Formats: sequence, C-alpha cells, structure tokens
Amino acid sequence: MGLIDAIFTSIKSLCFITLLICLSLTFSSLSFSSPDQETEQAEKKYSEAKLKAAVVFNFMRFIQWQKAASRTGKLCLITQSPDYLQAFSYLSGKTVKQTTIQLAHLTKDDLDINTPQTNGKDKCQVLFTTKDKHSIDKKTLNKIVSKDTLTISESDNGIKNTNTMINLINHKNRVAFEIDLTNINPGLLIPSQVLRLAKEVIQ
Amino acid sequence: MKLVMHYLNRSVIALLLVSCSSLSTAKKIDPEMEELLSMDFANLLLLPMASKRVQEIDVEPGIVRVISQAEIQAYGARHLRDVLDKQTSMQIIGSHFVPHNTTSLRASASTQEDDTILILINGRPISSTKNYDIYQSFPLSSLKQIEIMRGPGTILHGAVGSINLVTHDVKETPLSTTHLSSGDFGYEKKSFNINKNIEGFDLTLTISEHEFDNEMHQVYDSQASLFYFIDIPPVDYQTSYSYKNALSTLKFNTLLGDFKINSFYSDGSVLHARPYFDLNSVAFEPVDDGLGNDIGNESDIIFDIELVNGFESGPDIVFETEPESGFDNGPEVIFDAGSDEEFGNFSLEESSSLSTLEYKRHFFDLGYVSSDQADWQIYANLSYLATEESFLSFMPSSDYISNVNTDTYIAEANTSYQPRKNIKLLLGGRYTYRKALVTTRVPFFILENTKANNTIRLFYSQLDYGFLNHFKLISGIQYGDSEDESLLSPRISLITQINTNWNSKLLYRRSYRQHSITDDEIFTNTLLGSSTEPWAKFDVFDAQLNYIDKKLAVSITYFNSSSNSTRPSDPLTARGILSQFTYLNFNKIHYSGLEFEIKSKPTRAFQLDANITYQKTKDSAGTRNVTYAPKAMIKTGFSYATNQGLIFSLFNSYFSASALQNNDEFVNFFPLGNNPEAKSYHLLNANVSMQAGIFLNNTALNNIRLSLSIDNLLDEEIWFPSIQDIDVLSLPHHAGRSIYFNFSYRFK
Repeated sequence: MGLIDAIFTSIKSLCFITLLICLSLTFSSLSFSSPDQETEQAEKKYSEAKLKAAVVFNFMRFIQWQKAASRTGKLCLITQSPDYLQAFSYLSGKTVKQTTIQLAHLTKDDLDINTPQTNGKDKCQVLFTTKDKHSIDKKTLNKIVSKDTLTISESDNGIKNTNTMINLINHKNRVAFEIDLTNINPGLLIPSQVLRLAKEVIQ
Repeated sequence: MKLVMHYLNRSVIALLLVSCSSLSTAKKIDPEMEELLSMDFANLLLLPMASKRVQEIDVEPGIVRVISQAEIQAYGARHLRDVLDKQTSMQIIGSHFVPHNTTSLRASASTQEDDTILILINGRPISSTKNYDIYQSFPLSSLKQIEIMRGPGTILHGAVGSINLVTHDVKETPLSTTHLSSGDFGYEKKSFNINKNIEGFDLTLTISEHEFDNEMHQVYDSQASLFYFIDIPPVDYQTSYSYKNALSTLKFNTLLGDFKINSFYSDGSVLHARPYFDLNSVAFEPVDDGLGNDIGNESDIIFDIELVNGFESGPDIVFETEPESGFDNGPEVIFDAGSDEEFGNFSLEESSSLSTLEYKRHFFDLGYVSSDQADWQIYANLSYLATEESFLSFMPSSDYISNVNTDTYIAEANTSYQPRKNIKLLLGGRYTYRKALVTTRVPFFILENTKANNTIRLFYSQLDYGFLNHFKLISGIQYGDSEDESLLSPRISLITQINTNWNSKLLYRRSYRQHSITDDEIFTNTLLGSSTEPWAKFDVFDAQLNYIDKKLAVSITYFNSSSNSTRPSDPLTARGILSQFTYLNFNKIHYSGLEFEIKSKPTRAFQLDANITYQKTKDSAGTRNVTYAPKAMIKTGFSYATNQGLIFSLFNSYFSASALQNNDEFVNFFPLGNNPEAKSYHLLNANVSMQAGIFLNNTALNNIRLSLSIDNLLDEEIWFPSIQDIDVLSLPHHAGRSIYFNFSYRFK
C-alpha cells in the first residue's frame, strides 16, 4: 500500500513538473541545444567516428608510399555505421601530398564474391574496416587491396588477431593505435614520429 | 482575411524555397572536423571521445552510476548531499549529534556513524565515521565526475558501496574558475578553482569557504521536565555550519612512471544544540575549566558539583566513577533532582547554541603508476589521513568525549598483469596503521586521556577472464589480518554482454569492515558486542539487467544482502543521562530490494533521469523494518537547454516514511520530547542557469554563468527519526524553501 501511495504521489509530482515544463515552453518558445554544450567546465568530447577519421587522415599525411602508383588517393571504408560513413565522407576531396582523397564506401554488394578484379589504379591506398564491418573473405580482400595498401582495423582484441598493419583501439576513452611492423611491406615507410605515438609496436 | 492568407501562402513558399536551396548547397563546413583535421597528430590522440550512447556501457563488476560535472551543474547542486539525495537507493541522514553525516544506502540506516560506504578522492580513501564535512562542503567545482558504486564492487572497493570523487583532468579542462553563491538561511559560498599545466606539472587546486544556517529546530526540554519537574516551552533555533576546504592534485611524469599527489584539507564547525536538543537554549557566561583553558560559556544555572571520591562537594550534581554491571562504565553523571527554586534562573534565549562541533580532516596521498607497459603495470600509494574532532558542550546531563584525534597511515601496492586481452590478474597488499587519542572530559576538569593503535594487513588478488566473446568472469579473494582475527572474503561476478544493447550482471561478494579505531580500541567497554566480533561482515548479492542505446539507458537491479555485527544504538540505554552510550549487535540484518533506473535523452537538449527503489529489512529474529531507511524512494528529474544559453532543470526526490519509527510510548514517557512524526516527503528542486555571453549575445560575457536555484520548492516540513537519541520522535531533516544565486567566472 505504501508503495502504491508513493507511486501515486510521485505521479502527482510528475504532473506538477510536466505542468511547469508546459508553462516554461509556452512562455519561452525556445529552441533546444544540448545541455552538455552549455555547461561550463564540462569537458569537450568529440565524436568517436570523427576522431578516427582525423587519425586516419593523419596516417595518410605521415606515412610514405614509395611507389607513386600506390598513391591512388582511394580511401576504402568498410562499415555499416552511418556515423563513420558521414565522418569519413568529410575527407573526400581533401588533399594529402598532392593526392586528392576519394572515399570508397564498400557495401556488401561490392564485397560479394563476384567483385570484379580491379586494376592497380582502383586499388585502395588505405583500407579501414570498422568493428561492425561486413564479413569479408580473403579472396575478396585481395581484389581491392594491393601490397602497398595500408590496412587499418578497429578491434578490441588486439592487432595480432586482425592481420592488419594498424589497429585503432579505445584506450581510456581516447583513440590509440597499435602497429604491426611485420605486416608492413617495404613499399610503405612508417616514420618514427608515428611509431612514437603508437601504444604498441610489434616488430 | 484573404490578404492574410495570401501573405501566409507566400511565406510558406518562400520558406520552402529557402529550405530547398539550403539542401542543395555544396558540402557544408563541419567546424569540428576542420578543428580535428588541423590539429597536431599527438594532440589528436589526447582528445576524449563522446559516448555514442546515452551512457557508457558499464562492464564493471559492480552497479555503477557516473554523475558528470554537467549533471551536477544542471541540477544546481550546492553540495554533495544535494547530489547524493537524487541517486538510487541513497539518502543522507544524520543524528542529533552529527547532522547529515551518513549515507543510507540500500536500507542501511542503523547508526549515525558513516560506516557502510567508502568515500574516495581519485580512488584513494578519505572517509571516516564522521563525513558530514564532505557531504556538506566538498567543493563540487573541482570535480570532473562522481562515480557511485552500489553493492559488491571490485576487490578494491568498500563494504556496501563507494563514492569516488574524481577531480578534473588538466589536459581535458585547462580552465580556472571562481564561484560565488549567496542565498537564504545565510548561505554564502566562495570557491576558486585552478586547473593548469605548469612546465610539465598538471596542477589542480580548489579553495572554498562555505557558510550557512539550516534546519530550524523547535527544542523541547524533556530532561528538565523529567528531572527538574519544571515546564519549559519549546524554543526555535537554527543550526549553523561553517566550512573551509582546500583540495589539490599534482600530476607529473618521470622516466620511471607517473606520480600523482592528492591532498585535501577541511575545517568544519557546526554550532548547534542538537546534542542536547531536548533541552532548551540557555544563556551562558564565559568561564574557564579550572585549568586556565577557556572552554566556552557557563550557564546561568550554577552547577554545584560534588565528586564522590573526596573531591569538591556540592548539593546538586554527582559525578560517579563507580563501575556498573561488572564493567567500568567510565564517568557517569547523576542528577540530584533539585527543587524548582534551585533551577528558577533558567533563562531561554532563541537562536543560541549549546555546543560546538568542530572537525578537521587532513589527507595526503602519493601515488605512483609505472609507465605504460604492454601487459603489466605497477601501482603504489602512500596515504595519510588525520581527523580531529572536538566537541564542546556544557550540559551537565552527560559524560562525553570532547576530543577525538585519529591518524591513519596506509601503504599499498598492487600489480596488474595482462598476458592476453581477455585475461587480467591483479595482486596486491595494503598495510594500515591506525592510532587514536581520546580526551574524555566533563565540565571543569579533564578526566581521561586514552591512546590506542592497531594494524591491519590485507592481501588480495583478482582474476578477470573474458570468454566466448560475451562473458566476463571476475573472481577474487581478500585476506585480512589484524591483532584480533584473520578473515578470508571471496567475491565472484559474471557479466554477460548479450548483444550490443543488452547486458546482465550477477555479483556476489563477502566483505569485512574494520570498525573505526576509536570504536575498536577505546569504546569497547561501552559498545556491547563489538569486542566479540570486531569486524563487521557483509554478504551482498546483486543481479542486474541493462539496456543501453543512443537515447535510452534502463536497468533493473535486485539486491539481497546481510550484515553481521551491525551496531545500532541500544534503544533503552542510548541516552547519555542515566548510562553511557551503549550499542548492541543485531547479529544479522537482511536487506533486499529492487532498483529501477532510467536515463533518456530523446533530443540533444532534453535529458530525463528517474530511479525507483523498493527495499525492506528484517533481523535474524524475523522482526521486519529494523532500520530507519524508507521503504520506497522515487526520484525523477529532467533538464533541457535552449540555444539562447539557458538550462532549466527540475528534480523531485520522494522518500516514503522511514520504515522504523521511534516508539511513541517511549517518547511520550518524556512528556515534551514529542516532535512531529517523521512522514514521507517530496524534495523538489528547480534550477535555471544562464550562459551570459550567449543569452545576451555579447562575446565579452562568454566566461560568465549565472544561476538561480530553489531548494524544497514545495516548502515541505521534513523530519527524520531521531537515530541516536530515541526518546525523541524525530529531528528536523531539511530546511524550508530557499533561494540561491550563483555567479561563476571562467579564466582561460
């Protein structure tokens, strides 16, 4: 009975609150923004997808591709996340080392086993696969990547389980990355300033 | 009319055209992306990520709630008590002696001592059995977030729950702020906060001063009625609080690893008549204690003292030191019921206080974390916590302890080893040395100085094991060893990530809590039961189901726990007048309950928070409702922000009447000790804050924030059962409606 009374009185209280909201809205007719944005001293936080897009952009800035033919500017993205797609789309058209980035969002159809063999020109300069990627088999992968494609993954299980060159991880609510040098071909040169920033380097 | 319709149609068409043209424009500039792309690579990796969900997926082996600085500000909290009263299964309670001293969590509400929850600053323990200074004055502006853990946590956490106060990270918030607040009940608060990197040293420093009067008491003189046979009308008076705080953290990196120094100092003073609230305020004259020390004021009443062992004699009051019931009760005061004429010069004075309770806390901690290694890390800490409690009162009715000083030294080290991503092992130990000095005195002379010390050694290990991609098993064991006994406490948790939105937790833990040094070593004679079982035992089981997505987080939790060696005051002998404070073990109390929590952010501007608790207790004899905690709590609130720089919030906390009420018959035995019944209540708070620069469209004012808060908007009279002195039905628990203004300025 006590609980029922409590719920009843709380409903009355909520009605009172709702009435106040309605009054506030009626008199203020204001548009909304995020409470977090308005709060002093609140730490500014960035979208994970945008942060990772910016990190991948920096890899394209710093890592050197020895062969000019490998610098296709094609940034391939395998993801099902609209946030990632939107963030990486923003990189399209940006110029890195005189190469214009073109985003290629590889959908499930593209990754179908019937994906035609692409010639070198269309191969990805960078391939980034997110956590919620489509399943992809090695044969298909070989059709879209070359030896000089920089492969980047996003996995909590560590780079050893991904077979990629770079793995992005979330460390203490920040983006960090691991590099597996054993997977990197001689055609790619990872400068020391990037290696220094890595959380883990496998040699 | 036609003309109006014509213009309306044209306007709609124009609006559509504008909308279409805006849709067809080329790729829009995203300022955040531009900022990120122009940033130095190293700095990019320091930026914090926003959660994609309404709250983080919580895979901690405990029931955790994180309250951000944004939420603290949105709800206009003045102090930690305001924050905690809004949280699930929590209520800040206190006694006549120490107001607002204790967190009642999950129905634990038996004693005025704050002994079931652990308070930490940046993960290091700072709590004592008296924590009212923290609840009422801890500088909230210094905090990045508050992490509340209910139930069984990791091996490193406290008995029933913990409150971790996490200070700002300089890299994330390199700002300095000043805050000024003023309001009803003489409320004044000043605080200054610096977060700055100085040549590689991350420094945060907060200094604050906080003063206010609060609960209005109508004081009755039951003792006078009983012992002096005079009738004194009730008197109104307010309790006054005054606090000063300094909190600092210093963080720096070396080749060996990271070092962090946390320090906290608080100096609190409470002027109140609550220790003897049932006796009216009396006009006093200054007096010394006969040893040259000014001990305050003397009553108009002339105490003629007779000491039985051949000391000074007099007619009215007898101080006895005779043992009673086979054990030394220490000093005891017995009144000779004098005639009305002898007490005829009582003079009552409103708003004067009878006693001063002063409390100082010094805390220092040096922490070390080894440099980031691939699979292992070492942590080490040296901590020092000192408390100085000084109670000054002039009532002749009781023997009491006027000064209690405690010192606690902790050395702790642990190492975590993570050979694989899914396996983590923690091994550690903690050595604690505690000492206390208690000065017992009655008016006019010092009776006794007592010293005590003891050591406690703890060793612990914990294994986290993730398997089958969905499960995480956490098991641990702790071995505690003191002079009295050695105890093993196990814990085990299973966390299941059902899918991206759902997870569940099953948690069990047994823990032992060492009593405070003063209870353990000094008051053993007067605390019945404590000497036979010096460590309180807690068994806690939790089952939780969580759902989290981008806009909604919902959880439902069932808890079932028990505690042994709980020490509420003995109902019949708790009063200090005829005997000393005496405690009894209840042997075992069972607590169980259901918690429902919801947090929703349906739009970017609007946030809704609600939690409901239903809880009950029974003792080993089958008696139900054996603690003062309410059976039900329903707490709901929302906040929303406007593009004009305003944030509105409302929060209502409903507490049902305490399950245990003091016995009417016993209370009525003291004819004037009958305060109003402690009923259920709503505590409704409203807050409006304004970013001046945005609201007034003036960038010069961007660093100014103003806010207006109303506490207890419904102006409810709020009473809570008197915990320690149970011959009074209830105590005032919360002040009436009050308004506060706050001004904040931010320095870059």
